[in-house]
Amino acid sequence: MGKTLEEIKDSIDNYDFTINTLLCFVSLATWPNHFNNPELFYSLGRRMDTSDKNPILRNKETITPDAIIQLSKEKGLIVEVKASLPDDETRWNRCSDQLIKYDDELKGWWTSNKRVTTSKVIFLIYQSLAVKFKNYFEIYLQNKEINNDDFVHIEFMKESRRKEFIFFRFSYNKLSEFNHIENIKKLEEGISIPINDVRNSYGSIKFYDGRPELEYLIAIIWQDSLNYRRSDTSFDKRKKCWPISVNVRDLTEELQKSFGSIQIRKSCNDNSIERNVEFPRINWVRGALKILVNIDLGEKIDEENYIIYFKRIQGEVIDYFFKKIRDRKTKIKKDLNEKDQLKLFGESKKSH
Amino acid sequence: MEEDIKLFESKIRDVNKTEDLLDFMSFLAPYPLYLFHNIQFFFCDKKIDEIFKFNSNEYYKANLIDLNNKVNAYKYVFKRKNVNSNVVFFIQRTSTKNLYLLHSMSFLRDWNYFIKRFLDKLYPSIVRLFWKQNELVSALKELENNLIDKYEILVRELIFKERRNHKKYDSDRKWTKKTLTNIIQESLERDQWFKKVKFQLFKRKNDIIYREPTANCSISKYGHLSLDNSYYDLISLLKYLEKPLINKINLFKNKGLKERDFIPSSPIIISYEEDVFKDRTNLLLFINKIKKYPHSTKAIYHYNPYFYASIADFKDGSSFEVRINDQSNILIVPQIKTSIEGLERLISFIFESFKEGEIKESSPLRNTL
Repeated sequence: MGKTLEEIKDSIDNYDFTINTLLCFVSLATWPNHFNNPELFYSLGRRMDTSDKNPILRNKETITPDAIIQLSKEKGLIVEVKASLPDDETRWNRCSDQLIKYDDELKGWWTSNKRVTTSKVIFLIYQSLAVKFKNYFEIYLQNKEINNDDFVHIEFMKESRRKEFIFFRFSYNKLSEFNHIENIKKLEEGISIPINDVRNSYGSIKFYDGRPELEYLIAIIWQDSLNYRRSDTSFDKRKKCWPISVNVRDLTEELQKSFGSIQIRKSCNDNSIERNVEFPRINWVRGALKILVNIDLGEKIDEENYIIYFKRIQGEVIDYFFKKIRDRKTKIKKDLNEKDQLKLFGESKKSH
Repeated sequence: MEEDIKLFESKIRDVNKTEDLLDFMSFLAPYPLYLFHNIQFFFCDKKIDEIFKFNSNEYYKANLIDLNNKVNAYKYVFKRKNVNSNVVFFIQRTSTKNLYLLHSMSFLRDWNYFIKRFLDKLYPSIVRLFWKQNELVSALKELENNLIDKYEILVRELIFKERRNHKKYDSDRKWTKKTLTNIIQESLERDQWFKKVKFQLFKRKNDIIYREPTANCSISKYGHLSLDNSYYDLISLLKYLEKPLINKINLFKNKGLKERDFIPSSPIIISYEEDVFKDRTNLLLFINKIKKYPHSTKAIYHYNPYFYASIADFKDGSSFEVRINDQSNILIVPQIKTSIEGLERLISFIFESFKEGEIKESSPLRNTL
C-alpha cells in the first residue's frame, strides 16, 4: 500500500529537517572563518574514492557521504545524517556499514593530492535514537574488531525557544583534534544553531543528495518554475490550460542553480565540478514530469521534452497531486484486475 | 458639477505638462460636493502607455480613450445597462523610478467603483501601494506640523481596525471632531490601525479659526488620497507619503534568483515587536488567512511546530517560500521569480488580514555564531 497524505507530509518535513540539520552543522563547523579561509570547502554530497585499506569495500569504489567539510588542507569531516532509523534494530547494520566505509583515506578533497591527513566520520543522529544507536554501534565495532577512535556521533534535536534552533552535542567520542574550532569545542556541552539565520545565508536550499517525495518535487516544479513560465504562454481554450514546453535538462539545471547542488557550491566558491553530486538529479525531474503526463497534466514529446498543461490549482498543491497520483494508481490497479479477470474468464471458457 | 469635469477634460486635451493640469485643478477648486481630486500612488516597471493601451474587449463593458499622450491622459468609459460613467485621469511621474501618481477629478463613487477596480485588474502590470500604520501616522504628523500656523486639522471620520482581544480584531468606523494629534494618540492607546482617515482643514488667522472648512481630505492606507481644495498646501503630504514607498521599492527590488543570475538575495523579514507566534492560535490564524490569499496557489508543507509553505502568485508568476521558525518573525525567501509587485501584494495582504509588522531585509549571520 502507498503512503498516506499524512505520511507524505511527515516525509517532506523530515526531508526539510535533514537539509536544515546539514546546513546548521556545516555552519557550526565553518563559521566564523568562512570568508577568510581559502582552504575551507564543503559540499552536500561529494563523490569520494575509497582506498585499498577500506574495511568494507575490497575494490576501490566511489562513495557519496551526505556532507564533506574541509576545514583546512590537512583536516576534514565526513558527515552522515539520520533523522530516523528503522524500528527493527537488525537493520541498523546497513547504516553502521556505511559509516565504516567512510573510515578510510578517502580521495576527493579540495587539495592538490585530493587527500587530507586527518579526517573523522561524523554521524549526526536524532537525539531520541542516539543512546540506543551508540550501544548498538559499540558492540558492532567490537564484533568487527574495528578501532572506535575515528567515529564521532553527534546527537541533534529541534529546540523551540523564541526562535527555532537545532541543538547539537557529542553523544559518542569527541573531536579533540578539532578543538581549535570554538564551535566544535562547544559541542561537548552542546550548541544551538538558529535555523532562520542559517537558512538566510544559503538562499533557498530545498534539495540535498537524498531523493525527495515525488509530490514535493512536483510541487516545487509547479510553484516555482512552471508558475513563472506561464506568463510567456498563451491559454489554450480547447485544453483549458497553459501548455508549457519543458526541456528536462534546462529544468533540472534551473532547480540545481536555484535550490540545489549548484547553489550550495556557489556559497563556498567551489568551482570544481568533477566530484560534485548533482541534485535534484535529472532522473528525479524526468520522473516527476512523467508522473505529470500520467495524471493527464502533460504530454511527452520525447525523452528530453515535455509539454505540461499548467492550470490553476484550487486548494493545496500537495493534496491535489497526492489525490491525482493516488487516483491514477487505483485506476491502473483496477484496470489490471479487470484484465486479469477477463484473462481468467477467457481461460476458463477455453477449458470448457 | 459635471461642468467642472468637462472643463477638466477639455483642458487635459490641450496641455503639454502635468504641472499645468495640476495648476488648473487647483484653480477650479474648491470643488462642488462629492467631487474630488483623487490621487493614487502606484508602481509600474513597464511603459505606461503600453499598459493603458488595451482592447476594450479585455475589460468587460469598459473602454479607455487616449486623450493626450504628452501627459499620459486617458478617459475611462464604462457602459452597462443603466450605468454610463466615465472618468478622466492622467499619470504623473514622481522623482522615483517606476513610482507614479494617477490624478483624476472624479466623484468618489466613480473612483471606488471604476478606477480602483480597473487599477487592480491591471495587476501585475501595475500595483497599488500600501502604507503601514506608522508610515501613515508619521506623514499625518508631519502635515500637521507643517500646516499648524495656517490651519487647524480636525478628523471627521475614521475607518479602522481595533484589537478586541489578543486574538481578534474588529473593523469599525467612527465620526469625530478631534484633532489629528488626539486621534493618533488614541490609536496608539487602543491599538488601532487606520484604513482611512477623513479630515478637514480650517483656516487659522491671528488665533481665529474659521468655522467653515477650507478643504476636505481623505487618505486611505492603499495609496489613495482625495481632496477638494488646497492642493498646494497638501502637496507636502505627498512628499512624506512617498518616502516610505521609496524605501519599500528599494527593499523589494532585484530579489528574484533568475534576475540575479541565481545569486540569492537576502530574504525579507516581517518582524513583530511581540512574540505573536508564541500563541499557536495566532499561527493557525495566519495559516487560515494565507490559505485565502487570492489569485495564488499554495503548498503548505508543514506547520507543526514551525511553518513552511510555498505561495505562488498566479497572476504575476512570482513565488515565495514562507517560513515561521521564530515567534516574532515571518521569513519570506525569494524564489526563481520574485517581483516588487508580487512582494507588495503578498505583504500588504499579510498586513491587512493578519497583522502589520516591520519589513526588513535579513542579514546573513555567518560571523556571529
